[in-house]
Amino acid sequence: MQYIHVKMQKFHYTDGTNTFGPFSVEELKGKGITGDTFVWAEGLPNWVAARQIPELASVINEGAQPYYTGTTQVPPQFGGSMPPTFNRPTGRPPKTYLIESILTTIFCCLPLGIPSIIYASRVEGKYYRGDYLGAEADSASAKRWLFINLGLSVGLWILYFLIFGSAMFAAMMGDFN
Amino acid sequence: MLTGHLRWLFIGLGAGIVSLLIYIYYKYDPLQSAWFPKCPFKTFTGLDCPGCGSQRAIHALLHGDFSAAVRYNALLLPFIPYVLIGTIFQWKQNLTAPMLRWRRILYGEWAIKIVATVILLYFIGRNIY
Repeated sequence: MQYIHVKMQKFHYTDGTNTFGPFSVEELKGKGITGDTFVWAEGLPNWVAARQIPELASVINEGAQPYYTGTTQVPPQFGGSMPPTFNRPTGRPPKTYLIESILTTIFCCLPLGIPSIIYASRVEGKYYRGDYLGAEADSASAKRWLFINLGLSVGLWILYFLIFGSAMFAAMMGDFN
Repeated sequence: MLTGHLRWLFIGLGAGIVSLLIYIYYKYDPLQSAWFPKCPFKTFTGLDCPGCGSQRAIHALLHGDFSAAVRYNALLLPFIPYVLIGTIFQWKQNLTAPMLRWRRILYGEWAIKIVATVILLYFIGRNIY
């Protein structure tokens, strides 16, 4: 059997349908992981049986019911059939829109850029804790406030120029006469 | 991400607009001319928002008057390099490992929290003092 060393990592495990994690080695104890449970950690290309990872030897509870007991023992594969959040840990966190938010807060526009920045600050924290959906939602909120701010500001500018511009124009015409 | 000719058109257009804005803000003083839009937040509430004074600050900056720029808006000057570097990090593909580390230090979760705190404190502080 081939051993795979995974040091200082958090693990996800699967029961074949749902996945759980990330958990530290310490947290995995008492989860009823067996040698046949498929686990995954950041950096691994695919799921591996827990017994292949020596670092998990202390976790494996051979008395427990195995989580994944398909007759052919085919691990769930990464690929098209996986839920969209599944593949995320190896990718990039969602966009924070920080730069755009700063631009709209300090270089123009309304203080509505502040909610953008607050949402931006929560994206990566949630992402690295494994809350991918939460990270996506905060990224989307940051973007939404960005566009609310921009739209409102541009609208007010146009209004400003319409009112002010016509007043100036009238004054200029008055001078002309 | 845009590719090919479209991307260059976009960059050219952006550079054109930025140069035009720099010219306008160099030539005309927002204090003297009524044509510069006033901050709507200030108009309605009478309070200074974190972005108030940035037009005057840009004018002062383009004339080399750094102390006036900081007086008008203290956040503008330090955030110019921050935004420029952040934009480069956002546009550049295939960042090297040290660059990724810097990106995470300068623009990661904690950096954003510090930025948010600084802006909020400035918002409150400039209306008290």
